[in-house]
Amino acid sequence: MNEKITRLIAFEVRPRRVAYAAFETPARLLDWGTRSVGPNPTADGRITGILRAYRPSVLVLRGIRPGGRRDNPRTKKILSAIEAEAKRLTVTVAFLTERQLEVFFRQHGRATKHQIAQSLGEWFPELSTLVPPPRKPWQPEHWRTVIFDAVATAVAYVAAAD
Amino acid sequence: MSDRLTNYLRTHRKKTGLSQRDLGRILGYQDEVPVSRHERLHRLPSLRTALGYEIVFQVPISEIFAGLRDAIEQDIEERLSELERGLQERSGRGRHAAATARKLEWISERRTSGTLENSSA
Repeated sequence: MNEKITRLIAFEVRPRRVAYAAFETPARLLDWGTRSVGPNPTADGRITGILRAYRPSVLVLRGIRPGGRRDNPRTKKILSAIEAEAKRLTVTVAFLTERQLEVFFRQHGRATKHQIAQSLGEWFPELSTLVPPPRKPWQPEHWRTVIFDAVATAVAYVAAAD
Repeated sequence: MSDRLTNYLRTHRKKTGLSQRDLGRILGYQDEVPVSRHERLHRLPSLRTALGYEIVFQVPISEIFAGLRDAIEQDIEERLSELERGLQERSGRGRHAAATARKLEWISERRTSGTLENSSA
């Protein structure tokens, strides 16, 4: 009776926070948000809770480019803990490279994080009020940017898979 | 097991931009606790609240609680098949033969109309 439904979750990892975006095929945004993470990211059940709630068939993570800005021990530790937890829950883990992400959004004429967030706000109107303001060079990253990074990872993964 | 989530309350609520507290108040609760429990499947809403969700989101209950509906449907179909088998075993016999025949006819009609509905959907 029902079409086969596939769900995917993308996580975006920062040293102290993880953002997630859950999608259902073909392009239904189910949920998004952030969770703070401690030294042992999967110990408090926050990450596991998201995976259990959405029972995704695929978990998408953005790989770390060696020597890149995200190449630090804490981010790596969180990524591997999430990967291990997903495998424990028999969820397939897929990695998207930063290059793939960049290529996808450049095809749509979007190069900066702000431009990408604006596009995502247009494609998913429920996110339009969350688009962070453009970042000034002296400002830290807006806390909502990480959510758009997670959504961008999911969108680019789906596009690459198609 | 259904592919669909048990409920899509959180998806519909976040689409509207409402907080759990806003939604709780709209539904007549004091705070966000019941909405949070419904979203996290810690508790099933009452029929009154479920209809409230339908009215707020303007989406049928069966779509909001899609996975739950699928699970109930599966249970019902299994029990109907059991009933049908029981009726077939005693059809054409006894004082209730006409009533049994009518029930079997209804089950058959129901299945046909269900198939038609599904194929047209």
